[in-house]
Amino acid sequence: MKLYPKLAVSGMAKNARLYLPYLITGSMMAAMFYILGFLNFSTAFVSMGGGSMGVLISLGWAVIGIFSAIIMFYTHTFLIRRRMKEFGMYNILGMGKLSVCAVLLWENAITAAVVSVSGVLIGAALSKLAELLLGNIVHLDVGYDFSLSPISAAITVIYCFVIFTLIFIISAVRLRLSDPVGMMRAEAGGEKPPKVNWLLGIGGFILLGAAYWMAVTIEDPIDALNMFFFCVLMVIAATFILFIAGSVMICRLMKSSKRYYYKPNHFVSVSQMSWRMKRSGAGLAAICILCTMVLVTIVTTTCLYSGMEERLRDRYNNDMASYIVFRNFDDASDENYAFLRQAYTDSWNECGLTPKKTSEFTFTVMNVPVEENQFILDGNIISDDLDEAADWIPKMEQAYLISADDYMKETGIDLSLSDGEAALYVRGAGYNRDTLRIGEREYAVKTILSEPGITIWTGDAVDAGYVLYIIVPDFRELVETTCLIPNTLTFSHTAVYRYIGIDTDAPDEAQADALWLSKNKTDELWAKYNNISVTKEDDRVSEHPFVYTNERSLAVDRNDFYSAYGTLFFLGIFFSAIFLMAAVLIMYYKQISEGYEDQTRFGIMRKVGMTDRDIRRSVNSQVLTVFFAPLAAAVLHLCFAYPMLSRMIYLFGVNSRGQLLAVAAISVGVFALGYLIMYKVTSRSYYAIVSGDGD
Amino acid sequence: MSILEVNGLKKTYVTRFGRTKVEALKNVTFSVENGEFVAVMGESGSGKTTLLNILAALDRPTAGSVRLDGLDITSVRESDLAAFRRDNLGFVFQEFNLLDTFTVEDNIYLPLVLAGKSHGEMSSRLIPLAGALGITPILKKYPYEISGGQKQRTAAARALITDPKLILADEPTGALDSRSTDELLKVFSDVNEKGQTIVMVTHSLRAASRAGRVLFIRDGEIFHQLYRGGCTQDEFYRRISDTLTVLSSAPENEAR
Repeated sequence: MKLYPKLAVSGMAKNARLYLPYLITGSMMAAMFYILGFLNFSTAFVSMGGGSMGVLISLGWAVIGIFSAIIMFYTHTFLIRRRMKEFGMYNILGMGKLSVCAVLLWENAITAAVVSVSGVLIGAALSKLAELLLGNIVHLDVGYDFSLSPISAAITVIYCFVIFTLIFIISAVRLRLSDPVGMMRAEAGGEKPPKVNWLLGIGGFILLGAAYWMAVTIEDPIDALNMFFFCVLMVIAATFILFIAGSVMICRLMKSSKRYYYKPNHFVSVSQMSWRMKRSGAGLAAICILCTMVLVTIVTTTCLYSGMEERLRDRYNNDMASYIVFRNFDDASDENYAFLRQAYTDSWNECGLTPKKTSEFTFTVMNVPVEENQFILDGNIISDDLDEAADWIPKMEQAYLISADDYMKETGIDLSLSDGEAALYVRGAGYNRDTLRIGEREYAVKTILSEPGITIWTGDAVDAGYVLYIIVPDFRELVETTCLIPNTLTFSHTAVYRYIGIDTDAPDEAQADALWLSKNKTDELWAKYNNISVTKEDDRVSEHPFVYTNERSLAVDRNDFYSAYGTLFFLGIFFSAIFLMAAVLIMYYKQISEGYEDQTRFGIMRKVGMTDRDIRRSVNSQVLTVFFAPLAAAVLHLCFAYPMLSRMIYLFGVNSRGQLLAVAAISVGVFALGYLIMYKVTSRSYYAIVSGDGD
Repeated sequence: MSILEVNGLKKTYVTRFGRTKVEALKNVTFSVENGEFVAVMGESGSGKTTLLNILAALDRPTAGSVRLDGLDITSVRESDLAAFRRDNLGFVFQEFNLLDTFTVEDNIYLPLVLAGKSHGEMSSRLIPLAGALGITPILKKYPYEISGGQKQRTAAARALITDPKLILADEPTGALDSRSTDELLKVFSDVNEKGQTIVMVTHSLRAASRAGRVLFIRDGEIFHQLYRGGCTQDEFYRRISDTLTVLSSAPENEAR
């Protein structure tokens, strides 16, 4: 039987306006799917990229697979709705439902073949580009040789056929359940005019307002992170309610103003919109949410990526940074420090790291509560009472204490602090008092520094962006009398940290080698002391000269950061492309199907005396509203999400809000441009349909 | 005074690849006086719809001219046609052609809104018109809520509200039952008595017998015409019926 494939092909060709975008989007999604599969199996990345990158790529691959399947299912319902009429006619002309099913099977088989083959071809063509892009983003060298991934290609083809088989089954079931006369009937008449649901409409505005208010007023980054999901849910609900009920309400309000309503531009569009919004409101809301997701994804991933260097700067005083933790100042004697110092300098020398600058200083870590965005230093920080401490613990942030001498040695800045004076550097929260008290000691705040001049980071605090440096002249006395209370386990109990770090121009590999070497050397030292069975409970506890050591390398961390955040950024771009494609496709089908509905209406209006210019103008104002309402709402959402986003990103150490703003503005601009192009294309085909040359 | 003068109208359709030519109108000449009610009758394919489309400026003749109130409508620029139709012509269609998204009131307002009239002016025109057509109670309803007769009266109101020089009606009773037909024809008679010029294409004897004059069209030409003169509607009905009998029984060549 050659009839079925012929009918399938001619049916698709006749409906090219519907099928072409479907095939193109399908192919692009298949291409994206292939590319992520390709990267997933790419040996270059698996071996070089490190753990987080491989996991992220696999995860992204799965998400893209699921998402593109949903999009294909959804868009196919638009297609099949248009085709039902034709199938109904076949049915009435005496073709059994089984035969119609055969046509449908052929259609899906052809679609699957076209989509998978062109998807793999496009994917293969673009995969090198994607690989180079990812390589560039995560700072990995990838060669220029081209390769094809047979596994990924096979999986892509199989996945396409699975999806289109499912689509076929669903449409076959639909066909089975429908009756031919019902299929022939184009649009159901006698629909009631949409009722205004004032309660829901106003409720939607209130819900949205509440979510916006929360987003704007939440100050604390951790709260922002916790409440973000809740706010997102509220905004999604409000968006749906407002697009469905609120839009009808607004149309009704516009109608009630006779002077506004009875204008040639508004008359037709407002009345058509008020009917249409009930049906297409949900779709528009979905598009709006998609757009918002794209913008938020792009903005956050870009910020995280571009904020990496800043974050690294906040953690590294030097390229190679190490510190040794001692129990007290006696243990932290120069003598004990010397052999550990030796271990570091040896490691660095052995790996060829020539120090450009060496930094050495002593500091200690303490916990300082933050209340109402202010650090509190009123002596309460030292407490042996665990019950009392329990109230404070959730509010605690880490603060670093350093002597004025060491500060001057490291930064060259003479703060000229006299006894009873202290200098502070604060970030993330403020300090609004003139004095500070640590335990029994009280200091006058002499200066609050605008730049820290020094970077201390012990990494065991939540990276919440809170920084507090306290610089005092009587460092040792203060620590010994208030912070170092032996054998107490309260949270305030602390230790003495001796820091040593160097800056170097040595290559990344050498720095990584030096890091591992120094870790080995200090481990050996620690083990040596452990072998003489020194335990904490032991009275001879002080015979074990150091508690632990910590070594870090900026170069190694930077590579890890790039691999994690870079991959995230890459996926952000990838997902945005897919979301955008999905949004545009939904929009396109919405316009097309509405165009067919409007064809008769505009025909009538033309007969009654509507000029082509009027029609064009009315079409424009409608398409413009339908197209740009979701985008406008998405941008509004982003604007209100912005304060919350900036606080959340702050948690990841990105401080500069200007950067977030710039990224947001650029993303919105680029996104709107892409949107505009799609609008031009879409409105042209819509106009072609309503003006009648389309059918 | 003639409001409509049709002179030597010819319309030839050429199939897409120019193989066959179909002469829809061969040579049509007639005129309509101001305030006349003219019915155009003829069988399917006789060319009456082509004629109406040309009168409505929806289609252009191959040759000949159509003058509405002295203005040759074939010379109106394409871009001005819609406005020309809106300002000078009123349409009543067989299929009503009401917009389902508008209330009855808004459907009637449509041509006025397009002409940029204020709401005050529109409603002052609508109130007496709606009263005369008996549609005042249904003004706020939507087309799907009203009967066919009401729909057609709405369409008539939409045609009349612009105060057009000429009403063109294309089978206005074609989709109506007999009671609604009578109601609509009464509306037409009434507005005609007040001076409204109407040209109505119809199959229906009953509809045609309401007119002041009936033009019979066959094979693209005016075949015959009947004036009501002083006779009653029933007499006129019979005369039209007789003419139709002749029209359909006479072989084509004899009929000339």
